[in-house]
Amino acid sequence: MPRDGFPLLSVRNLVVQYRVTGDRKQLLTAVNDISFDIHAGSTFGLVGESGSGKSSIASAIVQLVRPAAGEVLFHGENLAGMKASGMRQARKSIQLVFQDPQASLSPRRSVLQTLLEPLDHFAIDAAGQRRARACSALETVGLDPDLILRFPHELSGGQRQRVALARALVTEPELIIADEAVSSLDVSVQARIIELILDLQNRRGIAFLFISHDLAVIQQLANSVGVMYLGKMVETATASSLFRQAAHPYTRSLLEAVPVPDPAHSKPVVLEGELPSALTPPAGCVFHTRCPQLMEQCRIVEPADRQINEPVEKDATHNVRCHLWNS
Amino acid sequence: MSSIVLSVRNLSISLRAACEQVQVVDRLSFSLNSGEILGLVGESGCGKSITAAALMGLVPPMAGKSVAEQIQLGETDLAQLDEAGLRRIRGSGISMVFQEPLTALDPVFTIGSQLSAVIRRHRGESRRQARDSSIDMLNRVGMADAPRIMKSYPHQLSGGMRQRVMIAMAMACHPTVLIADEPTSALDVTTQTQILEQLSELAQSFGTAILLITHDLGVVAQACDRALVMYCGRIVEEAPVGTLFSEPAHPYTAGLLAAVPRISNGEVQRVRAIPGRVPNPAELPAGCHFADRCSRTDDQCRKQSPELQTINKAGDMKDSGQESTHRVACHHPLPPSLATVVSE
Repeated sequence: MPRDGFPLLSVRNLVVQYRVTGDRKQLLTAVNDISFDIHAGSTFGLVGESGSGKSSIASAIVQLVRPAAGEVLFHGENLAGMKASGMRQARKSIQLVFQDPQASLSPRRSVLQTLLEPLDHFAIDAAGQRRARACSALETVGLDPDLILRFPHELSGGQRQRVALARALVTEPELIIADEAVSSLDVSVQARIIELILDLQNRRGIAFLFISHDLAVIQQLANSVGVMYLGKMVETATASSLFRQAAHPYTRSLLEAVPVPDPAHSKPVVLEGELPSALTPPAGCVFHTRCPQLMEQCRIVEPADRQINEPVEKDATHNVRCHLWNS
Repeated sequence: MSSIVLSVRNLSISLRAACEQVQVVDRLSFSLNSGEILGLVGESGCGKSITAAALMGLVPPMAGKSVAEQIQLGETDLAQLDEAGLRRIRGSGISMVFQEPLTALDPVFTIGSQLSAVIRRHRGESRRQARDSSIDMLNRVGMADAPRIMKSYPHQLSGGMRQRVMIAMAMACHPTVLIADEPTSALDVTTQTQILEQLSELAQSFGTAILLITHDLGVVAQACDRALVMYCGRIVEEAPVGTLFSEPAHPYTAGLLAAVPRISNGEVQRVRAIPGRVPNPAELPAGCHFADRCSRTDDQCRKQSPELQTINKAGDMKDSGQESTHRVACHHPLPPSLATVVSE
């Protein structure tokens, strides 16, 4: 399946819409014309507030929701139009890890059963050898294979998240989509999962789509970052470029809002208001209702995606949708 | 000069496990000053939330037992009160904000009816008065569209708005003490900042002291004046936040600080995890509970449990000039210079 010359995953002009039933039927655009690439062995961090459309992108990539428009190219092949059998093969190479392992692990299956399921499904190895593979996946994520007969309720939160990660690893995927995978964990446990992901990437070259609302966590892991607001990608850049010099006022507000573990640090400037409803997105720039640097044209004209110059790094790309950068 | 509004002495809590009593909080003592925000920090399972429940007299007798020498709230010793007495205190003396407002709010009643019920119950106001007070409270927590919010049901509000409603409800009776249990952990960072500011503003205007329970050291740095660090049911360190972050004395505190991801605009500062994991409360190691995960452990740590000791009178709290002590429960506390090395 692998073909040269293509990024591992390429999302092109993706649109995801949901039908909302209520007083009247409406179409909610959760993801609006999003494009980005993930290269083999690298991590793309996707950041934004709840409701910005991050998880819809994850679902659309693995076709759990059908995109309304756009392409999801995996090794250059479009998953969006693929038949069920082809999709099955692709899913083996793209695995998911969710925020809450309590909800994503079946309470009635032991760790062993949980890890065997994908192996059985994809008929990986001879049946007799699957248990050994499950054990080795547990060791990879730093869990004692003695835990293999335990059930999720007998494990701690950090252990459960490791099991979820082990389940994703057993099929030897090329891409793991981690949707807020460390957000509900304590800092010390979170730090261990971050170390584990970095280690996996070094040893196995697995690519990650790492979705989080926490830019501090994203910086630990990502090579490049996309910032989402109300279904739009407002800024994309290599991680070093984004953290050195965030261009979009929204990205700056997000950076500002991350609590700094230093009491001497000045109090953050509060971003006023909340995310507007995706059913009635603001005209012009989607962020204009909360933007601290609002200009007249922001209310009327939607800013185009624009590449800004990066003199420091040669290959660094840095794109932003904001009128401040139009001059 | 501030005065002590809540003083807790030797609070111990045990919970009933399969066939034994497991002690989850061990002789906790601390005091809370008026107008202060005191952080209670620790990992899941260290006993933070059950401590909050015990202060409110909410440890269910079926599930466990909480014993305290004293829980002094103003003139009243809560440890001596019966259920009826506690009911009068809850809401008006001590009130509480929980992590997940969706489960704390009743899904089948409007915000208005839930909020006015609290006000009518504790302040004895008429329906009309309670409605006006409710709208006033909602305005005070930064909800401009209060009349519409009053008619809404919890599911119609966003997470941040629900948490504002919870704060309005908890503050409606101007309590002496507010316990906020992970009030912002389920929220986005942007909303978190708004809520924390709201909380400290309200506390200031009502003179309410806040016990802020959190696992997030960033939140402590942002909002608190002083903090207690808990590990395995014990307080291992107590200090003004400035001291805690610049000169952590307990290796566990230093370890927590090194595990927090920090944004940098240059080189990425890698997080470092604390080795090992939190021991099961039923099988706590003898001596210092942190000994198995600590790099400074020696024989004494494994034999003898360290008591909380004052290591210096940190009389240098810049803003308030308030005298506050730095206490630590460790046989080999980190000296100030070394502490910074470990935490960086």
